[in-house]
Amino acid sequence: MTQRHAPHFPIDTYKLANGLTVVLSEDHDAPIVATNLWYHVGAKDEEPGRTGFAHLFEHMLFEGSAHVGDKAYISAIQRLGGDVNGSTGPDTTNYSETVPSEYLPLALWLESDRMGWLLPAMTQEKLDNQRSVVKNERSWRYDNQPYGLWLESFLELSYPEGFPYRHSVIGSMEHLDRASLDDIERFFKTYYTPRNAVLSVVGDFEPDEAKRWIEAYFGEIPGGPPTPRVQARFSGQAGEKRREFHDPVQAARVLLGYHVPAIGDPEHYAASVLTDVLAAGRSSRLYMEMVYRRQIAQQASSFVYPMELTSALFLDGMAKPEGGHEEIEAALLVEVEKLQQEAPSDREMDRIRNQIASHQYHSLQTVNGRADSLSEAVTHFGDPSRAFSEVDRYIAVTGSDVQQAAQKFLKADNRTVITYIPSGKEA
Amino acid sequence: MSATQGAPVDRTREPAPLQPKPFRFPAVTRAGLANGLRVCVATRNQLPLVSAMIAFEYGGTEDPAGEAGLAVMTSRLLSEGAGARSATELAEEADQLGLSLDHASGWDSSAVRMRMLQQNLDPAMALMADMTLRPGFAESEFERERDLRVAEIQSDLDDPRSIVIERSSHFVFGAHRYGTPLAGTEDSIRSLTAARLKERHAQMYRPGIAYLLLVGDISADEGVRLAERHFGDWQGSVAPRGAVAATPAPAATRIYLVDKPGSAQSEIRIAQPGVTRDDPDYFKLLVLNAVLGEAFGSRLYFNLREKNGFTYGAGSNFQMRRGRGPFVASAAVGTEVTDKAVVEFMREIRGIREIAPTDAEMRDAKGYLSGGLAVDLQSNGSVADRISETELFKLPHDHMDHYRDLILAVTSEEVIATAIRAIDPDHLAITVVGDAEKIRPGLEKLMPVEVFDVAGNPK
Repeated sequence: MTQRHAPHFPIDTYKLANGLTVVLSEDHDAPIVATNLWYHVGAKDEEPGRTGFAHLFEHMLFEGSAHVGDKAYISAIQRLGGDVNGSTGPDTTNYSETVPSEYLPLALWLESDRMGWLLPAMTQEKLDNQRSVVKNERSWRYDNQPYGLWLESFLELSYPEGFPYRHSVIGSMEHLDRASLDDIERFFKTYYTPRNAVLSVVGDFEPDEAKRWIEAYFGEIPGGPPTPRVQARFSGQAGEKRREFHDPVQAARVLLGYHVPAIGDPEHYAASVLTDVLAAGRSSRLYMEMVYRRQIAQQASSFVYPMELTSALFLDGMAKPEGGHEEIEAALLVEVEKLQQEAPSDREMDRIRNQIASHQYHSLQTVNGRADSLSEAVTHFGDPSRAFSEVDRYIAVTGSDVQQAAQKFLKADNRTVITYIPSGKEA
Repeated sequence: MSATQGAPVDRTREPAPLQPKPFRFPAVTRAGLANGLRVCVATRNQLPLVSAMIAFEYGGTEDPAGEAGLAVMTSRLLSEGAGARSATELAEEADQLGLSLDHASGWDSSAVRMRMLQQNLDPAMALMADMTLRPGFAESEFERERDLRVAEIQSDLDDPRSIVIERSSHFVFGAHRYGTPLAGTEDSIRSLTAARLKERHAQMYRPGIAYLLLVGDISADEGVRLAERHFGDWQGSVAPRGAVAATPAPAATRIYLVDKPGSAQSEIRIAQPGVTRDDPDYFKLLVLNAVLGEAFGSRLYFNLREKNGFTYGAGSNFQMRRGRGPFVASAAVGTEVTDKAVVEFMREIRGIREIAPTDAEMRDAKGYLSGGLAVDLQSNGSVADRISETELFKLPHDHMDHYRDLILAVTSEEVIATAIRAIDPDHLAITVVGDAEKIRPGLEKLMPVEVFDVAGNPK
């Protein structure tokens, strides 16, 4: 195995007086710049009876602030030909813009205005309108999609009552109906503070100039109170859980979900590489065995859902329309047992490492890809350099680490099984 | 506006832009091998990465009647054993090299794409040459991929988005090739054989209709050398393909309701034959569509999502092919507002022919199209796609250099004139996939409705 090292991109990190962490990474290859802002708040921070609120709140951030017009955020970026994005996860909420570099001041103005001056522009009408948009999003992404509810179902089954990951990010529409302007104000003042955010700027800018603008636009925003952190600890699942969906689908599908360690835990890396052994590329085990050799599945995959209190690992097999779910579940479990009994060979691990290294390089091609990695590294590790060095931790995982992870985590009593059975084909 | 330390900015006003810096499309070196293979190399060496593509001027449009999916299945089999490698060995080698590998056919072309670390360039090109020149088409491999394709077609019947695309194409284009899925139907796929694919490959995968693109950390000399080494001995050409058959418009605007009981939403897709990629009004069409239904600020998006809250997203596009691919306006909307959403769609489709875009609309649409080139072209793969379009549709080699100016030259009057020519509100097929029991009465108040099941049988 040839050791590869990530290319060197400059990183300059500092904090404003109000606590905002800023990461700059200069790159004059193309006349574009990405601004990327992560707030350390997600669905796990929602109050009971308000599931889905963090995501609804993300929508509200595009609805205008004191000095930016109603609904002007997205068009302000798109009319320059820029990319604009927002997304909400269990632990974080992320906003980003990629623009031609002459518009860096504009991007900073937009992001700072909604961090500092959101509430004066908030109205009941905007809240009602976005509530309606989110309901449509839920229908489109989940309720009207075959197999759309598997993850929500896993979360409900496998975490105990009251645990902050027990609900999906999209959340309950009944809960959203109860969300009020008071909720908006409380959430904003608690979590959308400079001290709870990191701003990464990557691309074509002059550092001294960029620092002056960042200070000018963000510096006067009050730092806010200390950010509350969810203290819950996951103490493990006691015994296997199962749920069957009898849905009008053509093909059976089985998802096996297991609890694995949180982001940053040394064993998290082994768990992630384990899923690569199972499912990265067409030479991977699940594809070769279930799709290629035995031809019982039309798709087979495995992946980690990374979260900061505890993570989940999934194996996913979709039968052919004529096949049964029992066969799929058994085949997935056979691959689990094989990993428990024997470590992957050096040759196989080499193949995985080459794919990981290649993937890392490709993710660095865009300025926002790099900015996102920098914001993520600060949020989870307090260290932006890990944006480019995390890959070494994955590459250092050995075959024996993978075997040990399989033995330790892929056990029946740590498992939740979600099964889809085509309802039209039952007697 | 430039901020100085200690002096707060005026945040009541949008900051003015700095001095813009020019963006230039990467220089492309073009060469030709003696066998007719065209080679294009664009050097971009910030990262040790290369994207490679070999493409053929041959696609699903050329599938003979009854053999829809022939081009797609032929390209799908390229990875299932080639040269001295079995399918398993080929998959292992691709993964060992850390390649991202994609091989597929579109309506107008078939291509093998790879992205790789620069250090793996030579073995990766050897693999690409094996896949392209020497695929095996073994019977057992074909049967497996055929059965997988059939399973995918059956599973697509669960997905309302797949259903609405497939049914809409049928209602718009009928018996024309565009009326049947690019990747075939269960019947057409079952009619194919390994021998037929092998024959088709031998006929169509020839250097005379092929081009090889290399973008990334590679020099033009090295690119041509690699092309010679791996593709130099290959021979043959194909007679130029004829024009795509004409695509008559639907006789009258009407609603085709595909009943999917229990649907949580209705999928709406409004379509008709659109324009070809070589339409002389290409840039006007881009601006027209940006105003109507492309960006967040577009009329359809604003009306259906932001104003009315009917949907998570609505939009439109012209699918430009060698022939007249569809003009499409679409959204997934709440069941209870399905008829209202159709009314709003029709209002905007008529409106784009009647209400001239405002100065603000024109400014936003042009900025959206012209400003984003540097943002869109960050990856080697996206640069390769633009070069591929230039080659495939025989566009002037310098057309990307004039792209911005041609967009900026379009006027509001030209948008209206182009809309009147290119969009015909009286000959649209409106396909709706949803719960007929709940939405049929509302839709019938608008216009005639024909009802079908998801497999296409009248109800």
